Amino acid sequence: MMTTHHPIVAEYLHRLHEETADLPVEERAELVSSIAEHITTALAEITDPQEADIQAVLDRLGPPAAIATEARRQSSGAPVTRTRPGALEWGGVAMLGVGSYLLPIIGTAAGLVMIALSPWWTARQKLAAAAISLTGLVLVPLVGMGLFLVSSSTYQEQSPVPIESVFSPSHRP
Amino acid sequence: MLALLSSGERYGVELVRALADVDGMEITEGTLYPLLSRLRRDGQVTTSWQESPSGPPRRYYGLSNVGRQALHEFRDEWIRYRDAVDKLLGTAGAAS
Repeated sequence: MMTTHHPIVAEYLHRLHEETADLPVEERAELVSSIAEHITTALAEITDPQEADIQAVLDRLGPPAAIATEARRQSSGAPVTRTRPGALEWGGVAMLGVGSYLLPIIGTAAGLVMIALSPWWTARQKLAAAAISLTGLVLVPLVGMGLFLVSSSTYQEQSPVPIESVFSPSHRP
Repeated sequence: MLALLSSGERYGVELVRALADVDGMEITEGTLYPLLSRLRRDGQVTTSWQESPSGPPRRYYGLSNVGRQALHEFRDEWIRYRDAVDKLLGTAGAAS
């Protein structure tokens, strides 16, 4: 009955507990308890289970890391940490960076969509990315337009010089 | 998973053994518990504790109405998909 107290079972459950540290608390507890229950039930079906029987039950369950990976895949909450960024993350950043220059509005929008789809960033970080890039998208043409207006107005300031004065003898050296 | 439950409630060990033994599916028993857990959160699977003739009480898994509906839809979709592939490969009615 006390099969979950056997050292190899305890070690197995401990490893599963460690591997699922990034799961939502309730899901983690449910997973570990259902695996513990599975071991207890499976061993209750064997009369006088030996260590080899216990090991066989654990082998059929598979490595704790594999269970943890599947649990993350099926989890309702986004994982707290990921090992490294994938194509979606690099693609999103590249689109925002380079794509925004090559295809101003489409590139920026594609980058923001990729970043929004990725579980890598928090909602706040995604909003910040959207705010910064959209501000840039609006600001760059505004600054450009401003510079154009400033330069054209300085040009206009020079032009009202009376045409006749240019040709008048007083202006000749 | 849902199909196995459609014939009645099963307890965890019995259910995951049956699934892991299906020919051609490379799965270990342990990886089925996260799936069961998600199906329960989605309301497709129900759980209940029942006394066992041998040993401790067992958690039994059963199909909810939502799960039955999902299974029904998946079956229809699968038949359409299978028929389409059979038509393309010319394997309709062929025995394996």
